[in-house]
Amino acid sequence: MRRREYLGQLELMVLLATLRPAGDAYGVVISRDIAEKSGREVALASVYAALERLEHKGLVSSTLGEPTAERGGKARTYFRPTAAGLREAREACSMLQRLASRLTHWEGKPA
Amino acid sequence: MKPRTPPRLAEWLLQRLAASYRRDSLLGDVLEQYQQGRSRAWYWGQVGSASSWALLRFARSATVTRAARVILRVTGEILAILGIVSVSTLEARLALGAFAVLCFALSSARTNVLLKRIASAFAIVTLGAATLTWAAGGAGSRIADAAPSPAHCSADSR
Repeated sequence: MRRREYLGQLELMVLLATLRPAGDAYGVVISRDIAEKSGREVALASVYAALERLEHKGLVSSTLGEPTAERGGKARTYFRPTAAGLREAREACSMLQRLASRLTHWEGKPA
Repeated sequence: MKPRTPPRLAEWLLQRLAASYRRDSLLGDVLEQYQQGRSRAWYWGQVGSASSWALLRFARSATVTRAARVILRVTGEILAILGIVSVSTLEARLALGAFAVLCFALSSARTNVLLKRIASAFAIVTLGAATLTWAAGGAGSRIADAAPSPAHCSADSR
């Protein structure tokens, strides 16, 4: 059997947050998206640590934007999933859905 | 609108502690959110998060892992030597100590993983047994020393 590295929960959330049609996923947007959808705040350093791992695995690619005065002359880095990233996200989500289907069997049972 | 200035110390710490990966973008993102109305406490929270990641990165670095391995090995060997010294004070237990040292040497050597585990388990059990018997022997001899001799007792009774 092929040995594969599974995505961590934060990695998967970050990877899914980079899926934006406008292709404008950068640190602030990703962190805000996760906070809105999951209800918990994620530090920007944690988001970047996850992005570093994802980029190292070849699941996201990045491009540098233009520096702005509002950001102290620092440029934004935009992230988008690669073909491998999309495949990995799809596989991880379908695996979770298959596993989560067991929950319905337990819902009617007494604790 | 006048731009807000982030806490100077926090900014300085963030610049130094943030990971090198996309550091400028991270600093820009933190500043952007601060300008949009985030509090000073939030800014300090970002510094805390960045420093904990920096600490984790440092702990995972190859040099630290290698140093920790060397320290563990040296500590194990010192413990083995201490064990053998403690048990060798009683001649009969010398063999136990020697066996423990042999096991430690085997467990730290570049051998099969299973063999290493077995040797480590033996070393722990042998050293534990040797230390326990040594402690019991020491306590026994102290009790024997403290108890009055029969000759002494008979002299007192007279």
